[in-house]
Amino acid sequence: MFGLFSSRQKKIEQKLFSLANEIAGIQKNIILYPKENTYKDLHIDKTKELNNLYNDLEKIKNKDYVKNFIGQLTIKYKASENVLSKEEQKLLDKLLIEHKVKVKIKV
Amino acid sequence: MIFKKIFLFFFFFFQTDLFAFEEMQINFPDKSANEAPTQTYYYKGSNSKALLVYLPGGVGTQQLALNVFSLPFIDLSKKNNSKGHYDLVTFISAKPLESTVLDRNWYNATYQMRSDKDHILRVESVMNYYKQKTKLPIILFGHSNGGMSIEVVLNHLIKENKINLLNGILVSESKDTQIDAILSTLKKSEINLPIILLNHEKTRCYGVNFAYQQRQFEKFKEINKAQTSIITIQSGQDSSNQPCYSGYHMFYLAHKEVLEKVEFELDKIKF
Repeated sequence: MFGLFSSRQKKIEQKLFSLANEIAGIQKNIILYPKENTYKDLHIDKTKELNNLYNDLEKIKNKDYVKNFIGQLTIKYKASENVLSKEEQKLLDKLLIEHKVKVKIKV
Repeated sequence: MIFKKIFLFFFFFFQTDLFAFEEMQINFPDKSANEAPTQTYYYKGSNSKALLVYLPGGVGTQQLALNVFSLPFIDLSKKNNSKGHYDLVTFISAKPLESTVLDRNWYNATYQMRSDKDHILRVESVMNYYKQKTKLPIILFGHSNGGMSIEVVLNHLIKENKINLLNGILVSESKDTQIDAILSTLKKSEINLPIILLNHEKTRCYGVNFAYQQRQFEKFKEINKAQTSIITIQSGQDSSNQPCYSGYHMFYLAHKEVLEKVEFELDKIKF
């Protein structure tokens, strides 16, 4: 029983690692090609998927565990080639909010 | 009323990318056959040097032709992301061009669908239509299974003595068998067409052997009198999905590198 949970947890964590990496790559492309809506749509879809996985992980473990896990992801992201500067992050937020308003998605 | 007009002006002004292509239906060459027209999307560059006719991989239909993969190639026509010196036409097949049964016969069945006379005539009619419309040299661009289409269209044009319609080839992530067949046809016919090979160094798609294709192209480079280029993509991300429909094979998130390298090699071709 516990083995089953731990293997499911492992799978979710692996998915989260690769999804976070993918989202970081998509973000970089949004900055490079700000007029390209395909990357913004992709970002919205992948972020939803990421949040669902966080919820699944929280059900198996707990809130603190997920918080720590996000901390690990953040460290990895900051060391990656896709890390955004503060200015880029601001621009990304602005572009995504504008896009969400345009496609009528609640922010 | 005036506010509505101002709103519409700003709306269209900021949405220009949405209207950056023309959807065109090209009539099937044999009118008596009562076949549906071929759908194409045309992206016009500025002061274009050539026109790329993109033959998508997979089933060759809309979903595959207009996904993230096509973005860097569309950008070849956009002045804000590149020099914008290339027009692009996306060819949408009216019929599926890939076998849905993934068994031993998959290759033969798919090859048969891509060798269908209808498909060849449709590609030729699209080339004819856009040659007349743009007066630009035409480069056939086949991705993945699109390499099969290149092979059969190339043979058809040679056989029908219409090779002047084609001015270059860009082939990406196609099977080794297709690369061998295309190079062998070019060698035999001594046409000396410019050709570009575009592959991801970490491709995991079955039948696409990166090192083998590099070697074949290096050899071909020595005998082809026209521009022969090899582009190796190193960036982007892999996926846990089917390796011939995702990740490195589709140059996923390698937009910048693909765009810059393809444009650089295309610019070297003397038309």
